[in-house]
This record gives sequence, structure tokens and C-alpha cells, in this order.
Amino acid sequence: MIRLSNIERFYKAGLTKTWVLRDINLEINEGEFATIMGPSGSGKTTLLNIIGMLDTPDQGEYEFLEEPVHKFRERRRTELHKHYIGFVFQAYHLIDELTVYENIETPLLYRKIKSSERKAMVANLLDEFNMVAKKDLFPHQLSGGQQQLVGVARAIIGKPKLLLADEPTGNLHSSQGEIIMDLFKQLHADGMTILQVTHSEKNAQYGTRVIEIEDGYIRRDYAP
Amino acid sequence: MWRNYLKLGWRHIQRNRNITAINFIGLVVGMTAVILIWQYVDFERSYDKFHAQGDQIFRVQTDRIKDGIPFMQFAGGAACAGPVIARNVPEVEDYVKLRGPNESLLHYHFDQKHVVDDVYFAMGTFFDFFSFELLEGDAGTCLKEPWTACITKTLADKVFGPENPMGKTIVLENEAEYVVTGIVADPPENSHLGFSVLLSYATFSDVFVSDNESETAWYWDGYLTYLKLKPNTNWQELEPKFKEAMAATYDEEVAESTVFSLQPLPDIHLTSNLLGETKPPGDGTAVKFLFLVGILILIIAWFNYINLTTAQSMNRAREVGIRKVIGSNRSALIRQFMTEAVIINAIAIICALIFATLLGPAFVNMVDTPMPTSIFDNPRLLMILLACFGLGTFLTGMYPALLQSSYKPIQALNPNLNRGRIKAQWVRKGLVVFQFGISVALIASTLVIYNQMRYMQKRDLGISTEKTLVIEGPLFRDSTYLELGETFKTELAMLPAVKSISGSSSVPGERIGWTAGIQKWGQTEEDENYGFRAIAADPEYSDQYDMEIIAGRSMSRDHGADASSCLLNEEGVKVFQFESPESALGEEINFWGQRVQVVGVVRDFHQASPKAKIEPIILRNVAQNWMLNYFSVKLVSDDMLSMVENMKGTYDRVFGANSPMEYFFLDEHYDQQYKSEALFGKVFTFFSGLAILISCLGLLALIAFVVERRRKEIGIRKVLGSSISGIVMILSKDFLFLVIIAAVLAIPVVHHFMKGWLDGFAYRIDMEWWVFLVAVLLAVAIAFFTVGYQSLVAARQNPVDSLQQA
Repeated sequence: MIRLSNIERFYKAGLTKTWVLRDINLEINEGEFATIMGPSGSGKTTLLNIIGMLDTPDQGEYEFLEEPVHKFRERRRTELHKHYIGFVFQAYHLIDELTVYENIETPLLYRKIKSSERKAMVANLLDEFNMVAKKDLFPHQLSGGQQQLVGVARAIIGKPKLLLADEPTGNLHSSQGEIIMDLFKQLHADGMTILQVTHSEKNAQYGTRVIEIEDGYIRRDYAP
Repeated sequence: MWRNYLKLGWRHIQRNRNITAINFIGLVVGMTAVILIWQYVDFERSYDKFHAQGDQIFRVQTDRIKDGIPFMQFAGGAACAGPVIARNVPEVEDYVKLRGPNESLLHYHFDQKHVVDDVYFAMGTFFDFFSFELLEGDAGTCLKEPWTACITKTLADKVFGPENPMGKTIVLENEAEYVVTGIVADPPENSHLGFSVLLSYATFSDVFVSDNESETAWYWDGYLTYLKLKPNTNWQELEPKFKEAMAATYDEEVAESTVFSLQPLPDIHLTSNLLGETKPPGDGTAVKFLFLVGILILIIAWFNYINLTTAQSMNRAREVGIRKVIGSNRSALIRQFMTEAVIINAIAIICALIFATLLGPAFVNMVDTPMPTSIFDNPRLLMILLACFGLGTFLTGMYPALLQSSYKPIQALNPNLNRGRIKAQWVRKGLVVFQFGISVALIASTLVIYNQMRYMQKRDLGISTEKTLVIEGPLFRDSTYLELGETFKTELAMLPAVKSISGSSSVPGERIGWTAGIQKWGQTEEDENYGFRAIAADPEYSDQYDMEIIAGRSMSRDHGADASSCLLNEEGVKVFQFESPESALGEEINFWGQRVQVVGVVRDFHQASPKAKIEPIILRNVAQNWMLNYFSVKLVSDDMLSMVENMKGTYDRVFGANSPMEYFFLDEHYDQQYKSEALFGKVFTFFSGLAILISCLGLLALIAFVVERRRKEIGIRKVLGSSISGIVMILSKDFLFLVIIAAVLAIPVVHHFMKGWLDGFAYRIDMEWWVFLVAVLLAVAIAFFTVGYQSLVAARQNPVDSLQQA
């Protein structure tokens, strides 16, 4: 599903280059639940962003579903990620002015799905996540765990092939974190490909593969 | 999707109430002001646009030229203008001539007399030319025969009541009988011709005038002449042909000295200010300036919107980032932000329309113009406003939308990355400079206008207009009138409150209507012909008005021969090229064949307002009925009203009750001349103030953002030991710098425009540098006040709070 070859990402400051990612070669197949681990500043998030097409590598090739993403223009990349990728963030990143229901619905609006269909899809998901009673609340009226539930619901409502999560439990109490991780496990069981970035060994245990990264290089790649 | 945008826009507006309120107030105030101003401007520009064939109709205007210089310019044509042009210039389809306006005494029942303004003689083709609505009568024939008349509906109701006026006889000046052959709807206010009675021109040309002189004389002015040109004629090319026609009909010399030119009908009201205009002309410059102020106000309001929206965009970057991540593309975001702009602008314009409607009557009162008060009666203007609203929304919405939708999600979502938006800051600074430039310009203009007004009002007029009551002579005058006038003066002079009294053909406060071509005795019109304004006056006149005699003496009853003496003003001495006032004394002048001698010279005085140049004036005795138009009564005390009843009694007794006594106070009459300038000053100042207010409002909100963004810096500075005043300085510095740039840019522009305005005044102030300095200082003070207050609040905060939050 994902094939990265010789990916490089660096910043130029004057004459010196600072590498964030160096010589990354990585392949992730459909149905995997992979975890990227590493210390702060090791390049985990940058790698995730490149895979999520929010960032572009300075060198190297990136194929997603056999398509050469590195050759695409921004518009086409946007289309790709719109249809195949869902994001979950550490800081949830819900839209403050929208209710729970509307936050979850928004990706469908951008996919131009009909109103009746939208309603059904959102209602199903709310039901699944036990959030029907909270659908008219605004984000600031929810706990962190609930907000992240909404974040996950929003990420998967469009039925993406790939779910990217950047420290999804980083801002949560451990009990709330477990709920999210159980949810990921369930999604994985249902066939979703998941790639998460985390510091937590415990969270990594939920996945099927761990990729350790340090100073921009992939150091280890193993099953937990 | 649109519903979603609307919902989101609305919620966003609610969450940012303060900013939205400022944005909104600015837009509403701005749009309301613009609607009111444009209604006024539109009305002033709408004059004579209602005529169906208006684009083919032109007024012939006559210049009297001597040595290549026009010394008199008449709104009307010479008597011969219409016939000569129509005969010789094939592009001219037809012409219509009017004579007037006159004031007349009119009655139907002998015991009910009405003083009627705006009585004209009009040719039978009148209704072919102009689209005035004839309610009754036949447009083709109603003004054809002598002794026929059309009257307006209002006058018909007043004179005839419920009776049908058609075919009835009205009597003018107690003797001339006209049959009513038509009833016309009252002419609209926005017509440069305002009439109440149209008498058939044939009465004038065939009955009153002999030898067909009213159609052939080239030297007789004051015939309002309108031409209808064939379609698609280039009117500017016709003027040389008029000259040829005049040369062919008379001779080369006449053609050189009597020059006709054309004025497009719709341009007359705002561009023409000649002798014998039918209505007080509009002030084209003022209308232009107000139009400009309207646009500036709108721009300021729009810039506020752009500034505040882009400043807010910091806070919205995160939302943009999220939306892009969950699948929005840029155009969807642009649509979303545009929707918000549309919501705010739409509500603003609705509120503005409501306010403008509510404030309409007050505004009409303020501008003192008979314009319609509801914009909804003016679909054209409404359309323009809506188009303007659309354009404004697009322009103000588009930039913030483009800017905000351009953020990269990865940057927008990372709280640690500095979202450096240098470009946006420059745009914002540019807009602030522009706004303050406008403010400086408006303040400076207001000061210049104010100073000029003061200058005119404070100027030594050379005459005294105080404590003077002016009684108009009766309209109906017979052969005994001059004697009756003497009796009237003698009787009034006996009243204890009356200091002195004198009769004259005109009084100060208006341009003299009587112009005379005069020359030194012994010369003929062919040799030399100086255009003078003539005043016929009693010998007491010059003393009563405190005119200063700088050479010789005033006219006097003690000198038996004073029927043949005259006074000149200094300008008159110059025109005659006498070396000094003294050397003019004793010179003899040919005044229409009469030999008159200069016995004195008066210092130049402002017959009309200092807006007009002082013209050469000759004062001579009252010799005929028509020269005794006014009785100026100088009173002992200021309490003039109590005297009026007494005088009315005398008036009725002396002149018989043929028309009621009309009178006015001279100082008020004189000040009437300043009315349009004073009005312009008032309106301009008001709307300038409004524009400045809106600017400040925007600046207030903008600085709030800046202070918010720099809270942490302020905290650190305070911890490091900065004083409160030091922090206020740091925050204010940037804005003051912008204001100064604005001032530097604005001053040359103001100077240029105000010079243009001042050029309309014959006597005017110099624009001194301190005016601009004051304007800049005021703008700086306003900015400092706005910025300083918020800076102070920020500076006084406990640094612990701001640093913790950051």
C-alpha cells in the first residue's frame, strides 16, 4: 500500500543542512497496524506527515496504492488523501464552532455526499461510539477522551483505507487512552490499515509492527 | 453545503462579537452615510433627465465679448438667437423661446389677488420639447394664440378652487387678461425650469413688442432659447456655424461680439452659473466633493473589514488546517470565508437601508434640498447600491479569503511554528496608511473650508447691512408711482424708529441684474463700450449703506443738477482707465445717450458675497418706474419686527392695497448668499467626522489584536524593568509612524483638491502650512489616543498573568 524509497527531508539554514529524515525505505501493506516510535525530534511526525501527504519529501519516491505521489501536483494529492486517508491528532483539532454531529459530518460534505446518506452515516457512527446524547454539544463541553472519540469518528467516517494517528492518546488519562486504543484495535480487526506515532510502549503493543526511528534514520523494524 | 457555510459563518460571528460589532458598526455607518450622500448627489445630478428628448435639447447661451474677453455671460440667448440659428443651421430641428421668469400679481376673482413667482412667456412648441405633463388642454395648440395661458395644478387649485379653470380668464397686473387653455402638472423639483404660469409667447412678441424686435434684435438679451438638434448631431461642432449665421445675418462685428454656445440640458443645473439663470444653480463642485467623501467613507469601512478579518486570521489558521486535513480544498475554504463576508455585508446593508430611510427626513433638512427621502423610490440608485454592495463584498471578502485559505495545514496546526505572515502585515499597514491618509485629508479639507467660510463672513464688505429692513416696491406701478414712492419715503421717515430711508433698483446681497454698456461722453458704442453694473438710487443711498467716499462727494439733493450725476466704484475707475479716483471726478459719461457726470468715487464694496469678483459699478439717480424696486429702511434699534405693522399700514395707504407688502431683513438676505457654502461646510464636516470615527473604530480593534499578540513581550519587558510609559511608547511608535507616512502622502492631494475648490472664490484665503500641520497633529493625536489607551491597559497588566498564559 505504501512504498517509500530513499526519502530525505531537510531544512536549510544558511549553508548548513539539517536532516530530519535520511534515506528512509519503508513498505507498509494493507491491513497492517504499524507504530512509529522514537525520541522527540527524531522525525516521527515528519514521516507521518509525508505519508499523509501534508508534507512533501525533498528527495525520494513515494508510492501510495501503486500511484507515484511524489510526481503529483498538490490538487491531486489533496484528492488522494481526501479519499483514502483519515487523521487523528494529539490535540484532537476539532472545529470549535461546530457541534459533535457537525464535526463528524464535515468530511462527508467535502466528499459531496447526499444529505440523507450523510445523516445515516453519522447516526450509525454516533450510535457505534455511544455518543448519540452528545451530538449537539460543542467540543469545549466535552472531556478530552470524548473529544478524541469525536476526532476518531471524524477520521473514519469517510471510510478511509489508511488511518494516521499522531500521539492519539498523548493528551489523555490512561483510562481514556485505553478506550481509544481499544477502538483502534477494533478498527484494525475490521480491516483498516493504521499507522500511529507514539512514545508509549504500551500503545505499541496494540499494533502488529514497530518501526523505531532515531536522528532521521530507521533503526529497527520488528513485531512487538 | 451552503447551509453549513451559513451556519458556521453565523456561529463565528457570534463567537467574535466585539470584532464583528466593530466591523459591523463601521459598515452600517459607512453605508448609511453613503446612501444618504448618494441620494443627494443623485438628485442633484438628476436635473432635467426626465425629458424624453433631453439628449437632443440644448440651451443657447450668449457671451457678450469685447476685445476677445467675455464681459457678460447670459443664461438666455439674444432675441435673435433662436430664429437666426434655426434658419441657418440645418442640424437644428426646431427651437423654443421663453421670456422670464417674472413675478406677477394674478387674480381671477377681483378681490383675491395672488403674488405668483415664475411666470414665463413660452412658445407653442414648449410641450414638444419638454416632457412636462399637460393634464388638460392640447399640447399642440394651448400656447399658440396670444392671450392664452397654461397654469400649474397647484396654482389652479389655489386660484380656482373646485372650479374648472379651462376657458376661464386670469388677469395679470390688474390689466392683462389671459384665457386658461391648459393645466400642467407641477414641474418636478429636479427641473431647472420651474414655472407656475406659462403665457403664450405670441402675446409678448406680437402684442407687447413692436417691429418684431423680439425675433431680430441681436443686442437684446435674456431670451431663454432651447434648440432641438437632429439625432446623432455632434453639438460641439455647431458653434462655429452659429458665428457664420450671425455674420451672414448681421455683420462680422456683431458675430465677434455676440457669441452663442450650447449647454446640454442635463448639464445646466450643476455647471451653469450665468446671468439670468432660472433657478439658483447647483454647486457642482460641492456635489463632486460630497460624492468623493461618500466613496471614501465606504472605502474606510471596507478597509476596516479587511484589516480586522486578516488580523483575526491568526485565530482561524487552526480551523483552516483542520479543514484541509479532513478533505477541504482551497476553493471550498474561499467559499466559506466569502459566505461570512456576504452575511455581514448583507445584514449591514439592510440595516443601512433602514437607517437611511429613518434619517432621510433629517438629512433632507440638513442639506435643505427638495429631494425625495426614500431610496426605494429610486430603483436606479438602488441597483447601483446593490451592485456596490456586491462589489464591496467581493473585494473585502476575497483578500481575507485568499489569505486565510492559503495556510499550509502542517504549519497551521503546529502551535510552535511562527506563522509569520509578513505579506499580510504589509497589506494591513498599507490599508492603515490609506485610512489615515484619508483622515488627514478630510481634517485638512475641513479646516480649509472652515477658514474660507470665516474669511468670507469676517471680510469687510465695504457696506453696512445691519438694522436694515428692505421693502419691495409694489408690482403694479402706474404713472404716479415715483411720486407715490416719494410720499411713502416721507411718511416712513416720520416714524420715530426710522433713521433714514432710500429707494434703489437693487440692494446688496445679490448680483445686480441691470447691466449697461457705457462710454465716455463723446464716444459712441462702436468706439468703446464698458460693461457696468448699474444701480439707480436715491442720493441718500451711499451714506445709508456706509459706503466710503474716497474722492469727491456723494450724490446730494442740494445740487440741483444731480439727476445727471453719478458715482463710480474703484473698479469702475480702473475700467475707464482713469489715473486715480480724483482724476475721475468731473468726467462725463454717456449712459444710454444721457450725459452724466462723475461726482464721487466709492471704495469697492461687496455688492454680492466675496465669492464673486467685485465688478465695475455705476450709481445713478432713479429716473423711471422700474428703477425703484426697493426701499431700504435703516432703523434706530434692532427691534425691527415691531415696526413692520406700522409700515404695512403706511404702505397700504400710499400704494393702495394692490399687493401685500413684501419685505426682508438685509443682513439675512445678504447671508443667504453664503447658504450653499455654509451648507456644504456643514455637510462636509459632518461626514468627514463620520469617516474619521469609522477609521478610529477600526484602528481601535486592530491595535487590540496587536496588543494581544504582544502580551508576552510586554510581560517580559516589564519583568526586565520597563516602565509603563516605555511600553506605551513601543506599542504606539509603529502606528504613529504609519500616520506620519499617511500625512506626507495626503497633504499634496488635499492641497490640489482644495486649491480647486478655493479657485471658485474670487476672494479667498491662502492655504497656509499650519493648516496641514494642525491636520497632521490632530490625526496623530487621534491615533495616539486610540492606540495609547489600549497600550496603557496592556502595560498595566501584571506580567505574571501574561507570561503564564503565554
